[in-house]
Amino acid sequence: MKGWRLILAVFAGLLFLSMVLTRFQVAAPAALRAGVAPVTRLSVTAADNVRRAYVTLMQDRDQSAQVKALQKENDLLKQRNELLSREVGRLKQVLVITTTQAPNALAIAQVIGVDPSPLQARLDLNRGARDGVRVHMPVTVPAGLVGQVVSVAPGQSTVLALVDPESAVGVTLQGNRGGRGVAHGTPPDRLRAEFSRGVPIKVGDVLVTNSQGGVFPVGIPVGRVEEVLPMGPNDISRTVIVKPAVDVGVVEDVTILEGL
Amino acid sequence: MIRPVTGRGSVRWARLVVYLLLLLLAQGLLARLSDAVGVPTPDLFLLTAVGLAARLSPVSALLAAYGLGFMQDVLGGGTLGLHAAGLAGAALLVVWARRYLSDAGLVQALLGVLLGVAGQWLVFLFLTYWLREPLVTPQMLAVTPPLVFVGTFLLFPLWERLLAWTFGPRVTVEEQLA
Repeated sequence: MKGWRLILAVFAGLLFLSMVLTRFQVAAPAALRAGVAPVTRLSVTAADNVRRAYVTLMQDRDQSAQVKALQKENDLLKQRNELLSREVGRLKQVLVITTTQAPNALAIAQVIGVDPSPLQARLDLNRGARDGVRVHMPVTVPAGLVGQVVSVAPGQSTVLALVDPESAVGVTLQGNRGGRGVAHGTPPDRLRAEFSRGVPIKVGDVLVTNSQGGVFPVGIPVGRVEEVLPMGPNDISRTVIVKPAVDVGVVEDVTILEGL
Repeated sequence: MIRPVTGRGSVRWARLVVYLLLLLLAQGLLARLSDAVGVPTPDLFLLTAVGLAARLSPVSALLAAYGLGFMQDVLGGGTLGLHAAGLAGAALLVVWARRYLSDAGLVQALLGVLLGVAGQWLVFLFLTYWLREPLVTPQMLAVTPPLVFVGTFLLFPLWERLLAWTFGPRVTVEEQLA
């Protein structure tokens, strides 16, 4: 008990001292603080560095997340751009075809399959009867004729390409130079056309469709004469080898035309 | 009665100097960081006063705590005697309670820091009344002491090790009774 009196007395004395000091607003001279200024500066610098490191770390994390989000967005936009580019390509193709070949384009179709046989040249398209596709409709690309539809299912159709051995197309020389002939497919990638002896055909001439057979619009490019075969004494027609205007092996999008 | 740290007197003084430097450094660091975060700074001076109250004789603890608070006032550039009286109040409550507490354990540490914060802020309230100035406002009282308590208590385990390294282990109940 006596000990506690002493303790309380000491505390009361210290408290009284503080009461006097605070009442008179006694402040320590600044020179006293100057002695520990290096320590204070060191702690402030260390704290600032810690804070900056934390801020940088958070910013890096945020930026990393932003980069990921932007990359994802970029991928989506690239994919969308690719789709739009292909769509624009198809529409351009239709525009070219309707202005240069025939005004009655039915639809754009994509090649979804090819005949694996080396002796045949047939393409499967992703348009069928549901889309209005019918047998004998011509199929073209801006570069020229691809072939004609030979069978139709509800959702797809098959095209007989020009180079298929069963294919026969009526052709004539470009530029109203006359001559009527028929071009048959010659696998793997050529046509063989026959003209009457009097037709002045030579290597390099461009052949286009004529109205023979009533299947194709007139004037669609078929191919270019690559070779004029020599005529025998008994031959009644002139035979030429034609390189097709369209390589069916690389065609992706084609345009289906309404028949004549 | 302080239990001397094993070693020569010069070593003890060297440890004391190192401790004070670390105290200033850590308190400045915490003050800067907590200002940036916007929370009250954990009070390492208070922890030191509480630690001394658990190691020194009561009167010595009061005087040491007052001196420590006085140093805080000087270094802080504020009114002299404010923190000094606060730390003395903290030491007084811990000195009063230490006979009922063992020298180790989580609850004891919790109570030690709690009593320290309570003693300090009771003195601050008294000085607010004495000075007739808005030194402590009701809003501050509702927010600051609890956060100071939490922050200071979280640092207690680490700082207690430093205190033990500098001033030796706490006085046990048996030693107090003896």
